[in-house]
Amino acid sequence: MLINNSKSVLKRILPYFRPHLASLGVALLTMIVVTGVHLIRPMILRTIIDTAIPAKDVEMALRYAGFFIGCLVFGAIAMYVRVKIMARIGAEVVAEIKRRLFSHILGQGMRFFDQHQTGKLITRSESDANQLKSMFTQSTAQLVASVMLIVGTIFVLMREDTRVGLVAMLSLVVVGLVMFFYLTYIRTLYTKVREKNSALTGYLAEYIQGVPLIKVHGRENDIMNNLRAHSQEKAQLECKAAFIEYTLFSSAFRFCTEIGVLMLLFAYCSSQVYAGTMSVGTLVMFMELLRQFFRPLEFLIEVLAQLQSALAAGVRVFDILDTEPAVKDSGEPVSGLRLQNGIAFNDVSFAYDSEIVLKNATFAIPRGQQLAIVGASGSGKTTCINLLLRFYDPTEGSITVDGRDIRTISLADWRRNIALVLQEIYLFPGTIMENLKAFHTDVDDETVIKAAKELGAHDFIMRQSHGYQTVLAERGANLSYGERQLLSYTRAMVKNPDLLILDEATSSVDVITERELQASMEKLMLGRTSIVIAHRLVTIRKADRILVFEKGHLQQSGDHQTLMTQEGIYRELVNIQMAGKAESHQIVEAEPLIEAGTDEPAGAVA
Amino acid sequence: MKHEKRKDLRHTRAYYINWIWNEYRPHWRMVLFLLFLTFLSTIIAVLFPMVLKHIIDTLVTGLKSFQAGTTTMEAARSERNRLLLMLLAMGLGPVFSGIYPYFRARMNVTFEMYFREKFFAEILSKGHRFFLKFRTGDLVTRLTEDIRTNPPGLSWLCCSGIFRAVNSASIIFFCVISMTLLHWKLALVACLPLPIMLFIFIKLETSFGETFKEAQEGMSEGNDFLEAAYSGIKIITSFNARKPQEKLYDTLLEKRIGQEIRVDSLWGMFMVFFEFLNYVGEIMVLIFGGIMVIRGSLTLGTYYAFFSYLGMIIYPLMDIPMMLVTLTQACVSIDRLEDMQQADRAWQDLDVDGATEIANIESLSFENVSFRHATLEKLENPDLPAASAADPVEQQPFAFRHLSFTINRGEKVAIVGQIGSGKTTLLNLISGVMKPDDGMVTINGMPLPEIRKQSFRDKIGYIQQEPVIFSESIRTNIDFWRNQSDELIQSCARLAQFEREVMTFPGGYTEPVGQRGVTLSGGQRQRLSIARALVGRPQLLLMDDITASLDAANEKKLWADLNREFGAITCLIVTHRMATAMMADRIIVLKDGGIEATGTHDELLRDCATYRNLSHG
Repeated sequence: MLINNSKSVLKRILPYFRPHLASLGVALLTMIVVTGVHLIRPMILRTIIDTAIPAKDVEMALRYAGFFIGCLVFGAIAMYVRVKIMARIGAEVVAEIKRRLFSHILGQGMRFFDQHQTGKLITRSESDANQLKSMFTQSTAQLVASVMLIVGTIFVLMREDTRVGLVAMLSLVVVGLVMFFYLTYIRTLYTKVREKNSALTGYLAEYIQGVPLIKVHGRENDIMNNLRAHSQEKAQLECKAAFIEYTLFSSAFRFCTEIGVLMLLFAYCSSQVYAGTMSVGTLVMFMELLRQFFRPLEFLIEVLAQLQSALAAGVRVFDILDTEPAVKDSGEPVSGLRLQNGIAFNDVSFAYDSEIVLKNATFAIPRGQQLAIVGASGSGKTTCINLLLRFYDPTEGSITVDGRDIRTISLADWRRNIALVLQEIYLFPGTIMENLKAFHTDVDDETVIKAAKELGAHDFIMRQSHGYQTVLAERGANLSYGERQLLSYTRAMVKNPDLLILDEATSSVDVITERELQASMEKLMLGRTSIVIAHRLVTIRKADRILVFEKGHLQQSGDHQTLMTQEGIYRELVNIQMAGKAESHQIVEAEPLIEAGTDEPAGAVA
Repeated sequence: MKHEKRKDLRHTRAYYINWIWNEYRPHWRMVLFLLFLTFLSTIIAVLFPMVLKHIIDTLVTGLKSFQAGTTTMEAARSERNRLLLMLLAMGLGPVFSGIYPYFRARMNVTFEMYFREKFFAEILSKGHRFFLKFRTGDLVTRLTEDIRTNPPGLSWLCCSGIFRAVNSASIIFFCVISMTLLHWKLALVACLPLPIMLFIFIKLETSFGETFKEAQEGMSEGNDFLEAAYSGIKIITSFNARKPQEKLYDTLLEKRIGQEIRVDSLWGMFMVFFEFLNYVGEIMVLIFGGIMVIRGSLTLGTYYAFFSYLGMIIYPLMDIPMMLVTLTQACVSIDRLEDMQQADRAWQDLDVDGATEIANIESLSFENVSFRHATLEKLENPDLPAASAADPVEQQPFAFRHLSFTINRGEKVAIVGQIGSGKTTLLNLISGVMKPDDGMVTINGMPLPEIRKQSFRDKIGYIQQEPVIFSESIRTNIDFWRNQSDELIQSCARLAQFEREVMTFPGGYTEPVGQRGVTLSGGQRQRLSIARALVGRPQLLLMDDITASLDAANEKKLWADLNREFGAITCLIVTHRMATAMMADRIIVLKDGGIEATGTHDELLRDCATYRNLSHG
């Protein structure tokens, strides 16, 4: 199976190299030159020993030496040229692959991101792409060079003495096979060591996170013992690997290829020399050739393993590039689209694979209204906004804007009118200004500053070391949660959308901070149609309408007052959150409270 | 650039050598053994070209006398067999060179384990301020990547690194000696290019290290970028930011093309050197040795032995400058470990164990406790004098100022207050993880530091806001390596309203959690940590905002069960949820570094504005 895939990987990657074919040709040529130099060196040595020395001809010896120097210089230059060429090709090809991967991944729908973890995607875009590059610039070059040298050496040996050549070929096969099996074995051993190592790293991270807990409960000694045990497991495996690699294999291998081969050669050649069928120079030449005979073999087998994993990486990379976006951008461009009357969900259902998460939802959001959606996690409330933003398309039914199916509008034009604020706040590498513009360069600074002032973010932004030009630390780690929340409001404000979608920030924010945020949020919602996914019911009492979802079904709808008069989930939820009057509740657990992030400063306990 | 690098290191080279030597001292037998192996394997290796010389010379003279008819084929054959035996004896070389790295590896691993334990113990004895300066990920890196054996870290350098350098040096040394013994004039000529080669290697190594670092930074910048883009995909998509992001990534990639080409080119230079530079010495021998052979002042065997020696020298020669670079890395690792060791040292020095055993926790008091979190400057620079009230500059505001209160056995006390009012800090001061700057925390009227730590800690249960889960079974996680009975563990899980969920796991209590097990939700983690705290049969329970883990009904059940099974247990509960506070005997409202009010729910609703505010108005 892999071979089929590998072939197609080769077929797929070759187009990336097409622009560089000429350079590749030159690179190949330089490899031939280098191989030639390696082969010619022992021959020169022989000629000097066999002709110049017996003839006592210093001038001749010098001539050969000069020739040798010439060869070396030529070879070194050729090799350097090759390296330069391959470095350039490799860097450009890998950049192109990465560029396409990134663009392709960003263009995928949310379903793709559900299936692929961020960490995995980074590996695909970064190290898998790098592997593909090194496969072509290093492994393949190494492979070609090694094969050339081995073939060349055998050729020279055969020409001089068929028997020596045949024996060399035979030993090559034997040594090659032994090495192949050995390397397969030792590689699995080292994989185990790596696994042990990453397990150890994991344990260590947990123990360090747990230090306060461990100390408070006085569990230090047990933890130390655990750590020692985990360390020891890894250490023992490492020692075993070292023993097999060095003491068993390496010494046996070196004994055979350095001593054994030489003994064979000498046993055979000495009688030839005495018989006068072989010169001493030829013996020396053989010795020199054999000295460099097994080295390319080691490379070769190492390279084959690299190629194998590079091909696997290639399969993964092209798998991603072959994935069609689940959401098709087949709508037509509608410039200046505005929300006129409202949005409607018409009998909308949605399923991940076979799991139905939203079933026959029908509701409308009239322009200018505030709609709140309530329900436990997995009730389908997030699905509604995912569908609205076309992160997914409904499996059944349609969503319409002013009566028009949103699938007939181009993605960019449709999304231009919506701003999304998530409870987890995503800020990107770059300055505060860039983030607030969502990296669009056609927004002017004034718009941003105006929005920031309106929402009360301006002051703290100006307190940063470079104001709006301050570069954010990793995800804005240098800002408090409240500040990041304000930034995300401002980012939405800058977009000035007709429709605002808010995944409300939750639980552990204390009431006073929350009120400040609430004020900004209300300013942001002013004059817009808005949808709020609510976790704290107190904040949505003013909503025009509240939708209550349960297990994918829209169960209740109406404003707070209406819903409180009805027997139903909403009233029970409110009661639970208010005072805990409900004795037990089977339908709705307090999950919405759990999924929230907390707002205590990160270092408070640790 | 070079000067900057020097400045990066905190001490002189001698300091680091001394540091490593101190670690070695207990292992001096191993050191001697390794040195012995080094010289043994080197000497055998160096004898090899001598044997080759002997073989060729014997062959040449044998051939001459054979052609002249002075020896028979018979004699030549036995001569050949003798030479073959000599070659076979040379097989000892590979054998010894196989034993040697194994012992080195063992020593590496020993060091690795030793360093990890030593510095982890160090971390275990640190105060909370230490963890403000060092993040978990950073500490893990220091205890794994910095000290690991493979790929080379400090442990590798401490043994393999040093002994490989010793080995290389001794190979070069003995080769040069042997060449000199064979023919000192030719040896002089052959060794002439060596210092120049060494110089070039060192140059190459340095620039390679710098370029490589630059490329690494480019790579991690790229990874950060991708991480942000992929995890924030919803925002990027909904803000139509795909094209702008692509453009940014493009710029990043363009920059990296240049970096990668530089790295690859330099690496290529290495390859060129590997392939061709070792011939420079050979050329000298080829010319001058050739002339000498022609003139008859050098035998063919010696001529060939010189080639072998030069071939042997080349790799050690490259190894030594590489060692210099890696040794610098070792120094950096040592600095990083010492950084860790020195940080917040004062805390450790103060954190002595008390002598008094206590049987019960009857009362807990704060007497005039003041506390403030350290400033970052102070953390970065531990040499600054300890914070004192007389030094008002660059101080964090007080978390607590002259805080006093008493809690008696069996009381249930809720602590409420806005974010940053010091609720968690209060719990940390009680548990002794933090220490007051002024005033004292007392147990049964006795200052906390006078009490034997273990005897106090055995009696408390701490439930963190963000519980730590270990990659073990649920049982082990609850038991926390205390070796308690299954019955106790199960009943505590039941108490924590966790048992029902445990039963839904295929393995029940033996189900592994964490890295390679099931993932627990935030609520489950907290319920587990409640069970964990209870299994220690605590007398004092410190709960940091556990509201998220239990809905109101379950929480009520927990309190009821707790009262029934742990009747006299003292509870301190930090909470945001008014329903929880209502259940407490007493509520403490924290504000601005002090207690604003104490009382029951109803009293506080009447008298305390902050409390009214906190309870949603």
